[in-house]
Order: sequence, then C-alpha cells, then structure tokens
Amino acid sequence: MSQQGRSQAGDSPRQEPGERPPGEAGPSHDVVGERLDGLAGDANYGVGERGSRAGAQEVGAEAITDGALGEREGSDLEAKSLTVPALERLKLEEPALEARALEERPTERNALEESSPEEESAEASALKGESPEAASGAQGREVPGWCSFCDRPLWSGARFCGGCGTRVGLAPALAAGSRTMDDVRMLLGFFLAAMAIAVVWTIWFQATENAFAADLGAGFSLAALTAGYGLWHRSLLAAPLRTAGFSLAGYGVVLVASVPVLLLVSAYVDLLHGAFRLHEESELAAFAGRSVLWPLFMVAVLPPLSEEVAFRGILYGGLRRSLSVGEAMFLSSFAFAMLHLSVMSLFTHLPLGAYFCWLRQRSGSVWPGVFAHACHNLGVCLLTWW
Amino acid sequence: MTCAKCGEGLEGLDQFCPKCGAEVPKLFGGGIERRQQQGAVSSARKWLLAIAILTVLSGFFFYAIQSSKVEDEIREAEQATAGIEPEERDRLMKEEVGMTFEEAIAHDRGQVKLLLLVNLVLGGLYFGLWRWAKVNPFMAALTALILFISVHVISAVVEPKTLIQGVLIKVLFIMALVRAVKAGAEARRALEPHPS
Repeated sequence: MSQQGRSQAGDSPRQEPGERPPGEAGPSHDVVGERLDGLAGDANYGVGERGSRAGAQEVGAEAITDGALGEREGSDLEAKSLTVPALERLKLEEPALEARALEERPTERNALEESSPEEESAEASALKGESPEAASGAQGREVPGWCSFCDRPLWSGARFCGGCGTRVGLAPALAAGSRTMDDVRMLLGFFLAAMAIAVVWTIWFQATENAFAADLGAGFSLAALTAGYGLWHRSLLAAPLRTAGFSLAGYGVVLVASVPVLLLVSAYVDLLHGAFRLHEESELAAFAGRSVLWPLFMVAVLPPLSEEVAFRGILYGGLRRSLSVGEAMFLSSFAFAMLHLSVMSLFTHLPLGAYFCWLRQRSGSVWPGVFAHACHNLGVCLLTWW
Repeated sequence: MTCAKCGEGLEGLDQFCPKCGAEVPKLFGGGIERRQQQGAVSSARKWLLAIAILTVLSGFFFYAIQSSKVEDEIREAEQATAGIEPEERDRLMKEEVGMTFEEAIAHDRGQVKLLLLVNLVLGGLYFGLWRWAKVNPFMAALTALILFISVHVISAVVEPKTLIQGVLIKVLFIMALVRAVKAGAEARRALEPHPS
C-alpha cells in the first residue's frame, strides 16, 4: 500500500522512461509534466501519501525501506527511530484522521487526475486549506500532511520536517537525492563522452593537419553520440521532437532576433581578438577550395541539429526531472559552452545556450532552438565570407 | 524546548526546527548523515578556494615564463631575418602564416596576455563557485567539476604533458567535488526551495 502511495506521488514530477504508457507520450506531455511538477510539490504528496498510509501498521518502516531511503546506507536505523514513534503517537491520538483519510482519498485522487489546470491549482490550495481540519496534532498543533522524504507527520505551518529537516513542499522526486544523482550521471556521462570525441579529433587534427577530415569526423561523431544517447533516452525526446513549438510568426521572431544575437557575439569575438591583436584562422578555412555546401552543412545544419537535440533535448529535459528551470538551463548551457573547448567562449556560449534553453522551455520543442542555432551559425558563415 | 536559532517551540521528537530548519542538538542518534554532508561540502569549498588561489598564482607564474620565452623567440626571429628586406620578409610570412612580421609578433605577445586573462578569469570563476557553494553546494560543485575537467582536458590537448602535472592534486580535487555533488544532491531536499 505504501508502495502504491509512493509511486503515485513520485510519478508526476519525474517519470521513468519505461514507466510511461505509450499513449501519454503525446505532444502535450511536457506541459502536463510541468503543471504536475508544481502541483506535486504542494499538494500531491499530501494527498497520495495520506491515503496510502491509512490502515497500515508498520507503514513508517516500510516506506523507509522501499522508498528512497532504502538506497541510503546507514540511515535506516536513524530514520526508524524517529519515524516510528512519531507515527505511533499519531495513531494513538488521531484515529479520526485515518478514517477520514480513507474516505477522502479515492475522490481526491480522481478529482485531481481529471481536473483542468485552473481547477488543479485551486484544488491544490483548497486541499492545503482543508488539511488542518482533518487533524489536530499533539498539544494543539495540527498535522497538514507528511514529510515527502521520511513520512513523518508535519505540523501545520511547519516549513521544515521536524524529523529530517526536509523543506515542506519539496517534490518527492527532489526529496530523494538519489534521483538527482541519476540525472547528474546522465549529464556527466554525455559530457565526458562528447569531450572525449572532441579531444580525439583535435589530436587527430594535430597529427594529420587535415582540418577538413577532422571537422567531418568530429561533427559526425557528435551526431552519432547524440543519436545513440537520444535512442537510449528516447522518452525525453518524444515530445520535444514531435511538436513544432512555435507558429510561423514565432519562427519569424526567432529569425529577426538572431540578427542582434549574432552581432553581439561577433562584437565580443572581434573585441577579444582586437584587444590581444590575435589573428585566428577562420573556422571555415577547413572548407577552402571545396563546394560551398560543405561549410553550410557542417556548420549551419549538422551541429545545430545534434547540439540542440543533445543539450536542449536530452540533457535539459533530463535535468528538469529533478532540477529547477534555472538550474537545468545553467548546467546544460555550461556543459554546452565548455564542450567548445575554450574558456573565453564561455561568455558567449553560456548566454547562447541559455537562450536556446529558453526557447525549448517556452515552446516545449527543440525545433525553435535548432532554427535559432542554425540562423546563428549561418550568420557566422555569412559574416566570415563577407 | 525552543529552537536555539529562531525561538520556535519544538516538540519532543523534533530533530529539526519546523520553522527555520535548524538542526536541534541532541544527545543520541540522528544528524550523522547531515554532518557528513556538511563535511563533504565544506571540504570541497576549501578545495575550491585553494584551486582559485592556485590558478591565479600559476597564471602569473606562467605569464612570466611564457613572455620571456616569446621575447627570446622574437629576438631570435629578428636576428635570423636581419638580412632580408622587410617587404620580402612580410611577403614570406604572409605565405607561411597569413600575417606580416609585426602582426605575428603582436599575435604571439597577445596570446601570452590572453593566457594570463584566461587564468585570472578561471581563478575568478573558482572563487565565485566557492562563494556559490555556500548557497547551493550541489550546483556549485557540479559546475566546478565540469569546469575543472574541461580546463584540464583543454590544456592537455594544447600541451599533453600538463595532464600529469599535479595529477594527485587533480584527482583529490575531483574526488572532493564528486563527494560534494553527492552530498549536495542529498542536502538539496532541505536547503533548496521547490523548483518552479
């Protein structure tokens, strides 16, 4: 029973790739997920876990071992010692709560699943307001819900769990730190693999001085890595690849916006080169004496496609499962910037990455980002030729 | 019993203040994990500060070495091309490296200065991450990990022998950062607001 409660509460903010029914992977998934994200933190854990607990005697200990705590070494004893007595006390003093929770639970769950976005947020606040009536705790303190991490009852008005210090309102997925570590591994795994590709081809270029082949090799290797990673995490990509995100007018705005973005970036590069009187060879020198289609494809088509799918599709979408918008934006853009193997390009690629992430967040699709990225890279080509 | 930090009344079983989240000092059990997390984060912060200072110092150190090396090279090049007409020299240089003699000298000097700037920027970034780690240890440690790995991969590509320079310090620093990322991920549930 507690297993059920935990999975209900845990599903909404973060869905495991394999767990989602195929029907749900429609274009609207992202929006729904986002909405549930906010909801789960505030109300869902209170509802799902309250219901799941009713009637079960050793639920405290169970929840600890089958939940996220089970993965944390050495914490079981500690958590038990504080959770079980608290629950026992609650049971002695609050038989009415469990009865009420049993009654309320099915209707609350159904209403939650079927309601529209506006109703959901209204319901969320209604639930919060209603909960204190459901139970009055020891010494006049009320119990509005349970800690999303250690399942200890919370006092009304509490901002932190008295048992483990977890902040009240934290999404269950976030409360389990191990989930965050899964996303960290995903980020670092891709980053290190992409870094290795960049290093191998840079060394290969140094050995052979064949810039054209090195560019081709690096471009296609990164595309292949992205494709492989994308297949592995295809549930993250299903929605953002399937929707266009913006209308034609939206794409027009992105096209217009790419002009000031390009001018800012090239002004920074010129300033840096001017200040240090550097004469860097153009990136397009590798394609000198070849068809103009080569630089167009290798600069303005392939990298935008693979980088957007990788950083804004897989990594940003993956990090969003356990991190906030700002954090996921920052980390995916930081990895994106550092992959360009230059510390000074951090100042252009970090904002660029954040801009593409914002497009992804705003549209729910990677395509506006691909378009903006392609416009930018094409602009760089045009500026170089001109 | 009341919270030592904010004065909120506590229940007998509370190990953390429900109002401010401060840990309640206790006689037995609990809190070990939290203290381990804090230990990992504070150790990573010490490392970050040390690396920040080290990066700035080594930036100046390498600047001194590199600039004297470049000046020597410039002097040698001037001596070697002393017999050639300046126009002929520039034409040969343009063919070879795409810039005139004067431009090549300015470029080499500029690169040394840029290296100093890069190291100062890096030191500043590590210093910023040290500060950030106090507020958001998870994000700061993860960012530092990505930054540190990238920087050393970049310098290893440019100069392979830098890979083994100070390899022990690098490994220890990376381990400290990984521990801090893990501890930060665990501690986030208490320290971070709900993502919106």
